[in-house]
Amino acid sequence: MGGSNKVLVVLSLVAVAFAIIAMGITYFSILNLVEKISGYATDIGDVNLTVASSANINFTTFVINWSTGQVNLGETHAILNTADGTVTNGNWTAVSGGLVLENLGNVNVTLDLQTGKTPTQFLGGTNPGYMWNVTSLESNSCVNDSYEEPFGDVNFTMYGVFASTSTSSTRVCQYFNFISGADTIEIDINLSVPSDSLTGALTDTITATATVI
Amino acid sequence: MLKRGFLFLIPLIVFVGIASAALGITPAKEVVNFVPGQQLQFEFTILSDKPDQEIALYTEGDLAGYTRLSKTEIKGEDRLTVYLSFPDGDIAPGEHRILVGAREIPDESQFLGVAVNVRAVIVVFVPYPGRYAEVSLNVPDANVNENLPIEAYVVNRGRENLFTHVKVNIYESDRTLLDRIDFQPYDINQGGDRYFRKLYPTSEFKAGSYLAEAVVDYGDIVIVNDTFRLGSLNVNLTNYTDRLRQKEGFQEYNLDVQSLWNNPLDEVYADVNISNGVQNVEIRTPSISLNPWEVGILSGFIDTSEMEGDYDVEFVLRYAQASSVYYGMISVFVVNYLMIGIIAGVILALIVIIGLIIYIRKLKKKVKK
Repeated sequence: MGGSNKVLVVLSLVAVAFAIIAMGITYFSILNLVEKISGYATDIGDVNLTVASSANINFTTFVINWSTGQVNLGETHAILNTADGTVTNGNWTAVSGGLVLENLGNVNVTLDLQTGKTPTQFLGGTNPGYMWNVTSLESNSCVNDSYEEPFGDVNFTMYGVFASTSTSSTRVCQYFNFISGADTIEIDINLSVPSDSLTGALTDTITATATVI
Repeated sequence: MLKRGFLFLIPLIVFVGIASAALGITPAKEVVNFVPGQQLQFEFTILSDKPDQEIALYTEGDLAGYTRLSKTEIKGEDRLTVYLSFPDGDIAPGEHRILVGAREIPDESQFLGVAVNVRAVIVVFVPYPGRYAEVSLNVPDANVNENLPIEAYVVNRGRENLFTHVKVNIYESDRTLLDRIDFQPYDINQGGDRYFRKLYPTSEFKAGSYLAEAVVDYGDIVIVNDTFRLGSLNVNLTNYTDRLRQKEGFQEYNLDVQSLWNNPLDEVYADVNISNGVQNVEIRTPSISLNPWEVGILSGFIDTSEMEGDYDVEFVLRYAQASSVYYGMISVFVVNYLMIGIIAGVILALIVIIGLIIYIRKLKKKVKK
């Protein structure tokens, strides 16, 4: 065997060796690949998911616009009522429907309301009236400890009937629900504007406080 | 100008917002155990749909003095870190709540506006001296032959570890003991908790109401209970219309039914057969769907113009390829207008006669005078 032949034999053996190694690598790579990404799944998989809790409320109706108006001549008061959608003894534009508040979060909350001003501070004049009335726009959105809508409940005097507003934080719902279809309330307003009321731009802010239970 | 009865202009009374008024905070709740001297921090995200809305941030509650905020005022959506540094000494044992609030600052351009104030909570449990456990038991309704998931939950609220032995007793509604389920004893560290869960077979049980009672023994004994129902594929007839007036046209006929099955039932309806040996009337009600254990009304219509007197009724309630049969009576009565007219006439005549007598007596008195 000549020198060149020996070289060829050695090269051939090296080539065969590389080929065998390559075959092995390919075989084990495919085996590994099959276990990793094919439908060949024999183990138990865990799905881990964390949903963050969120307290979130939204005034979806936040405008009640009665426009400009006045008390009719000879009347002592005009009544502006969003529940009835009426204006009595005045020429403001009637508004039907009050403020609408929705629990957008994924936890139940308590709900408290308060106004920034008393009727006298807000409207002035003789015997002004500033009242609110809370109702569930979607049934059972707002419930008490017995999980019932608090009609007639002495602890929730403004539920279902007009009651005087308060500048102190006043509990409206023990549970303001987040469940879709039962998470929206309406806050109707009844103003009794005296004929000798303040004039000009009358301002106040109603604050809704939602607290996680 | 401010005279009573005169016209006074109020240029505008409006509730105005410049956009919708949504405000949120996440996470809504964090729960920690009190460890003297421990320092913690909590990350909150304030959610607002108004990028320019000024929002005040604050904490409230009896432990609020131990908190510090990374910021106290933001505009629009932002993040907040609450640093909580527990004191080295003791504080009152039990649950304390630190409220983490975000309050919209009202826009002064509004006439009468709305503002939202949302408050998340950090619940701090301060361990009670000695051994103290909070225990709850949850046993949901199920159907007979299903496995009942019994779950007792024990939280160690004391300052000592609790070596806890839990057993759950199953009673019939009359408090007859049916079975006792024992769980492996478990050592719950201070501040730790443990669920004790078991799937309990109900093949030996009848449908009905039961009471489960968890007895938790950790040196002291705490007992809590929960009621549950085992359902069977059955719909019960609880009431039905048993009197109808004879009249032309169709009248509504109602059956009150209740599902005794712990799964929804669709296509629940009734075949009602009314007969008295001479007449035979058959009606089928429209179908309704019933949720588990729900009460519903099946309403059909019946023509009573040719019916009178007492009838036997067979009710066949049909649902999910099953049926249940009930029997009852129905009375179809005739309104006797002649008799009503006679009675009304007699009453009217009596009133007229009494009136006449009174009038004549008064007349006689006047004549005497």
